[in-house]
Amino acid sequence: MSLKRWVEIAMLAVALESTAATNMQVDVITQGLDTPWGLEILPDGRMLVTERSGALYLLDANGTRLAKIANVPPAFVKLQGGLLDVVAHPQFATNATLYLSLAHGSQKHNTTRVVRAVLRDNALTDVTVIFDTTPKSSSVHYGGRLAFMPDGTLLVTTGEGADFREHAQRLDSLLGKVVRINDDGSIPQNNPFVGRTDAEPAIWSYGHRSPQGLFVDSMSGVVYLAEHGPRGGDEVNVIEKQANYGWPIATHGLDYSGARISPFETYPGMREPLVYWTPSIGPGGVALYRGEMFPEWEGDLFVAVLGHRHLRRIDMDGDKVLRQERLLEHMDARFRQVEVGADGALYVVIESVKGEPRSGQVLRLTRRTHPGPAEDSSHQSTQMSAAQPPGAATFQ
Amino acid sequence: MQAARLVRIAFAFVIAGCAGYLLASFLFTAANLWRLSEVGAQISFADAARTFWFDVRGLAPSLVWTQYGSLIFIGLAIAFPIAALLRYAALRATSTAKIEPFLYPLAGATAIATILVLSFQTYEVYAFAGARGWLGNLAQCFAGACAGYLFQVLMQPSEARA
Repeated sequence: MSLKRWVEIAMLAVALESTAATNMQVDVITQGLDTPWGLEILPDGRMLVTERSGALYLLDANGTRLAKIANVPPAFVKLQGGLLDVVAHPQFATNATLYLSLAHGSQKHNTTRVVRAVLRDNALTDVTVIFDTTPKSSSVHYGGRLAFMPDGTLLVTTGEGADFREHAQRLDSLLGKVVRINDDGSIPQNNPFVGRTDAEPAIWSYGHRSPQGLFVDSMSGVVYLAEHGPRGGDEVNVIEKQANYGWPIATHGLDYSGARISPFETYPGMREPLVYWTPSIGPGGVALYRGEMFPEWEGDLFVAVLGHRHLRRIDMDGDKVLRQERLLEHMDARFRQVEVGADGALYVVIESVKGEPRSGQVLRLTRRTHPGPAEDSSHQSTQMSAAQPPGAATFQ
Repeated sequence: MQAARLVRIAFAFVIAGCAGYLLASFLFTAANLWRLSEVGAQISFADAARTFWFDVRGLAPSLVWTQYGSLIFIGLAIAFPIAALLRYAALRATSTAKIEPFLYPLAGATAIATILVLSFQTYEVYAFAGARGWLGNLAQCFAGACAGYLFQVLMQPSEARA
């Protein structure tokens, strides 16, 4: 590519950045949530949001609470465990079927569990356990993100439980994996390790540490996964069938103690991340933008960042990372999840603001109807919107 | 005379602490590398040496008291005076004098065990991954015992050591 072309791309990137920041309207559509974790936008625009402490709420399209869903299976709530993600079945409009992930068990024996249930009259019915990981005895690194693939199979991320990190490389363990199951929990026969006696047949990819973001691009079928490294080595990976993503043999991170996890940052046969961060930023959910509201963001990745407290846009050119941008940094909030609505708006789950209890929110990022002057940044826009959020609902 | 004794104690403590820390760090690295090799990593001697050297610096004592090296020194600084008191008491009776040679090694091992237990209770995972499992715990306690033994040897009069 010529130098002129690179300059053009750089100028375009700067122009897009300016436009996006100026034209972004941020509305707090729900607040007062207790460590919200998962968000699912239903086909009719209503939303489901999980609280890690165990509650599942149904919201209308404007964020107003419609109901607290009854009969949610109890979760093991401790440290990073609790009620985690929620996704709707691809045919939810006709079968009202949901999938929930949660930590299950006790301190000495817990799993990442997936249940299937039918949402009927603001309650879950026909609750069925369809998947459990290999048990572990730590209350951290559960994974638990759920996403349907275009073929109707369900991907589930599982963490390696910290003390069991080598399990991420073991094919006879379901810790530290992306697993793929059918919508009834059975194993798809075209999974890569089906038929091997030394491997769990549900495994789709392995070598993961603490994967808390998962997104399937329905247009291309590409699967993106965001995972926490230790001290450094946070990653976004493009997930492929049977691939090994290295943890803990290959990592760009160090252990919290200051020791090396491994002598290797890369290793033959193990996949390199699409992008990694050292020092760590603490990535949560990930989403690829497809929508008409922000055409300048088409094909860009968004990462909800917990540790460094912002929403990160990764400007992509195909599968190449051009640049990265921090959004909503001034909110001093732990960003947990990001979803793209059918209208092209971004929906962002905030776990907590300034560390306050029950300060979780759901934000909606839309294009401003009346774009402000160039100096009118997203910072100012957000403050104004957050003070008087139209249609905002408060949970007490 | 008193000053000379204090210098001797300080010298013995620093040497014993450093030796214990180096051994603990070596065993820490060895345990991690062994676990990696168990899941297929091919680790050469050069890889291992490089990792050991990195870990010795990464875990080293510093002004941050939660560093593993700092905790080892703090633990030994608490354990050895207690061992000295117990030794004094033990030597006063013939029946207990036999345990005297074991007191400093036991104190060193107990110091490391206490560090590992308290850190696990604090974080609810192993904060020091090289100490995972009963073998990892024992190996670290062994390093503490070696530090105690060395301290005991260095505290003996030179004619006794000869």
